[in-house]
Amino acid sequence: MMSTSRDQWTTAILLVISSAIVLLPIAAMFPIALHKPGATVGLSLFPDTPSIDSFRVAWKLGGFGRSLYTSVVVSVLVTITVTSLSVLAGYGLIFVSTGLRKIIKIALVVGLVFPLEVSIVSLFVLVRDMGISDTLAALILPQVSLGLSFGVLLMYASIRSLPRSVFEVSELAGASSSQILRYVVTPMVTSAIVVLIVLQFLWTWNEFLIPLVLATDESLLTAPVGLSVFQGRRRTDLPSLTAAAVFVALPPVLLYLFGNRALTRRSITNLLD
Amino acid sequence: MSSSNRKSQFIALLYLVPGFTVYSLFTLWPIAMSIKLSMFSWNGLAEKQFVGFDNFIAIFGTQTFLRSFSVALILVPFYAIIPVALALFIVHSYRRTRSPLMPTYRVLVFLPQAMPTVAIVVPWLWIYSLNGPINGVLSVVGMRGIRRAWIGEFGTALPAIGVIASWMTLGFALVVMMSGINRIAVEYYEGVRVDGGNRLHELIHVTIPGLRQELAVLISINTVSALRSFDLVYMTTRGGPGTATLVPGIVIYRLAFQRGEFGTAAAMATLFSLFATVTAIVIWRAWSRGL
Repeated sequence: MMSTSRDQWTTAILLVISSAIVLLPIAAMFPIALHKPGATVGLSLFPDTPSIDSFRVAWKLGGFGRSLYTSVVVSVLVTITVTSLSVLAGYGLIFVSTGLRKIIKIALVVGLVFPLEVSIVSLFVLVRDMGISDTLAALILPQVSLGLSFGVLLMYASIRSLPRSVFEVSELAGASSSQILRYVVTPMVTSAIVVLIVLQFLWTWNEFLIPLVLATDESLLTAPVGLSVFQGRRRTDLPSLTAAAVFVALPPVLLYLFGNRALTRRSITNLLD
Repeated sequence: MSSSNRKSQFIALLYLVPGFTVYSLFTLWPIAMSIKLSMFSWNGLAEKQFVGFDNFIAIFGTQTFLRSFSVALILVPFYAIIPVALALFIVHSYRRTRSPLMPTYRVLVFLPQAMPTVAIVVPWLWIYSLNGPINGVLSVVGMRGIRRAWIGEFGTALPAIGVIASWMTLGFALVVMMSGINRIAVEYYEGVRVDGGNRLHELIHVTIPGLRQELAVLISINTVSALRSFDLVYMTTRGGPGTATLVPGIVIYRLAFQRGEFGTAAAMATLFSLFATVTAIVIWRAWSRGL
């Protein structure tokens, strides 16, 4: 089997090369950030004397303590709201008439297809006219709305895929619709809920245009917007900028790595239950 | 309709009300308002003036519009063709492999998707810098003459940003195609081999047809990403130098939020969204029907 072993070597080499292409620029962030603030980062990449001064400068001058806090608050609140509203609406969609369901699904797809660029101009005007400019609500409500298209469609699809008999048996047993949702449906779709929570948190944390436009007050900058502001101030200070980027990227990366494990483990526990 | 049925319909609607209220107010309403706004002249404060299609006509006449249009089109291959072709080539070689390392690999190459764009472009500022590795390699191979600040010069800024985009998209394309290639039965490949075919035949006759859905999704989604690119450009060049990387997103942002020309911005946004949506649908249709 000459060709098979050759195939396996090619595969192994391509696995290594392609993951290196993807990961090396990200990995390079640490040695760059370990240079002294304002230092020139040369070809050698690794500084002669590593220092954490750039992290200190980024933290102090970039105000990342505050912007990371804002990002956590916004991401957690948006994720909780999107997830609960999606579970409710996805469950409700099962029972409405076919015609209404079709209309609602089309309306949800519109939000999925139309780029945010169209609505951002009016969204800005709307938020201003509602008098919620530069408040947490201006950051949260539009992003909840943005997430609902995907969230409702996902929850509807997962709940619909449950066997019909689940609903029938529960109804015969005299359970009300809210009891069925709480004690029967929700436990059966936890894996979809976990997927939605992880994705929605990442999307909210990484969102740039909405917080850039809708919350310009210094006290409400999210971490990614804070990073772009910090870049404007320290254009030539690559080590500090990179240190700041590490602060901004670390929370979603940790959630992703942790969430990934949770996702695979979830399917195992589901079987054991 | 029986009364109990009507009652259950009513209860079902109650579950939909909270989500749909938020969604109508913050998604459907703004989309409708933007389309309406595109036919008005408005600075955001004074009285709106109805101008019909004048905003659109005015946009077509400006250099900025044409420039941003072509910049967006130049970015399309960097988002939708280069990374997809690369991923296809790489994944094709995994066709017989069920390595135990694959799940870890998948988690790792997908990592950039979990990070904010504005953060992952930062190391590229070093890669493209005067003292960075690209210029370093050029010096070593005796091509000192073409060393430069790659994203700082008019001629190289756009392709330099394009390369970052290809890199950002590669992992996504890899993961999507890997799940697709696992579905293709190994017997198909064996069939090609029995008929005396080589790797290329396997690629053309088995892998590409087998991944048609994935390719359609990747190419249409990534084309839309290219037309919509904003974060990447905002963080690296803000549209410059000059108009070298002036993507539509930056033009809309400047029009609305720096110059207060809301009507023109809305018209520009409507036009580009229409273009992006139609392009995506055309590509999707072409791929899933033809070939």
